[in-house]
Amino acid sequence: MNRIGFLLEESFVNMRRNPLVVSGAVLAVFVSLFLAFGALSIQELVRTNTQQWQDGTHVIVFLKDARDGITLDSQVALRSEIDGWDLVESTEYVDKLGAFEEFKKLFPNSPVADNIDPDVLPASIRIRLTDSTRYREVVFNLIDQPAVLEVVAPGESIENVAQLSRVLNWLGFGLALIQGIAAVVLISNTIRMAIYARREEVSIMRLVGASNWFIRIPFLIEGMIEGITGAGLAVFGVWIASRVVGDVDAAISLFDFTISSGFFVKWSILFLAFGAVAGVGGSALGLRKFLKV
Amino acid sequence: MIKLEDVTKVYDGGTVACSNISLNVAKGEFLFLVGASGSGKSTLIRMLLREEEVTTGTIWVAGKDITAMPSWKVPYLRRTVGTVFQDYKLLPNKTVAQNIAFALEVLGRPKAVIHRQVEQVIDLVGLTGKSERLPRQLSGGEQQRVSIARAFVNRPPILLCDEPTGNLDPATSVGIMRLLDRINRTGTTIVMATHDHAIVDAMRRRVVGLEAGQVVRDQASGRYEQEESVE
Repeated sequence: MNRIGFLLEESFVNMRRNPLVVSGAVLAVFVSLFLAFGALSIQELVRTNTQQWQDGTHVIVFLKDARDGITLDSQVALRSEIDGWDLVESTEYVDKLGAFEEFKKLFPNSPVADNIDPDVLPASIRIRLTDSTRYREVVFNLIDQPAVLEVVAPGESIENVAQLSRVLNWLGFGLALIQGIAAVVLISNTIRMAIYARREEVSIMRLVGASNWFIRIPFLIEGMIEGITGAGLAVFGVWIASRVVGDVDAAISLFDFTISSGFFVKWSILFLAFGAVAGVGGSALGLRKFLKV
Repeated sequence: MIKLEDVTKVYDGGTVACSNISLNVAKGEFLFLVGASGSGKSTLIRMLLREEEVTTGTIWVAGKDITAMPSWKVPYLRRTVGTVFQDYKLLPNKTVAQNIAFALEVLGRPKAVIHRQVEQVIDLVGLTGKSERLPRQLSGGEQQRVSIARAFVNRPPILLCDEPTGNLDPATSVGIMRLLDRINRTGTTIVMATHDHAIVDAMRRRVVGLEAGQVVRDQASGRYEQEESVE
């Protein structure tokens, strides 16, 4: 117990003695991990948003109506035919009234909505595919159907977003990795400076028979505290940033800026653990050359 | 207590620091290592502490072959060997008591035991009432007493001293030698490297003379000056 107390005391005394070096290490870890956590969060936002788009409607078929000689029965027949296709997971029929409701929802304060005749708006079939990337085949089959007025597929935009998401995934991962390594290197450097500042003390410890582990532990504790503090600040920073960005959410409804709490908690714990491991690992790296018996 | 058998130390650059040294130091003996700078005295002391490894040969300390000792056991060797250096090697931001206690803290001794032993050794080295002073508030002689106290607080069977009076005036040196003599009389084996003629002559203990890394003289009650007449 006395030994543990002594080791902890040595760590804290050392940190008190070199506040600038310690703050430097904490800030370095904070910046590295904040950027890494930030990159992961952005990547997560892109993922969840593209997921939402991918989970939505893949193909919309606007239908001709009675004015074009198409009866409701033909529309229903077309829907049944589409339902029978292998690629189609489900369909939804939106009639003229439904389209009008949707229009009102999209333009809530527009005076146009009050003057518009619901009959002008075409009915449509919304199609969800089992494989969203194969939307072209469905579009191809629909184009020549007599009841079809127009076919719209947001697939291309989805493909672009998915492509962007993949690039961001790798970019985020790469950035997180580089920042993580930077954190380890910076802690290692700090511990090296701390050992250099205490080299006389370390040589005396060795002289009086302190084991290598006894000399190492205060430095490892110091690295761990620096790592956890830096990671804690990074987690706090990302939390603040997500709150600030979350407020923008209301204004821009196209993109959902809310990070799920599950994602945040899971990664916060992982980042804190990484901070601790990086701190201990960095210290061990810094200690490697200094403590040969 | 200490035995060297054909010990040779060659540094990386090819410099021969010690050459075929064989030596036996009995328990409770007081031995002076004398010789000019670069004769190998300090290297010998460093090898006894396993701060330097031998190139060839074997060294036994307290019955253990330290040349074959795995490095993780070296700290245990150092706990049985107290060391005193010319530059005292005290921690400037720790008090006298804290400096001495440091040697026991690294061994994980209970606080009460540390406190008792530190007080005892402070009295023994003649620094009563100065336990709360910092090294810079002490004279050179007093700092060396703290260093001796730290080396002796663990009651090691062996004390290695490398020029302990090198920074001190003659009167202060006498005081330090009296202290070392007292410690020796408790049964502690002392090996002391020195340049101090007066001390060696006054003490009349065993003298081992080194020259260019070789033992050139080994006398039971030697004097410093006899070095040249033996050659």
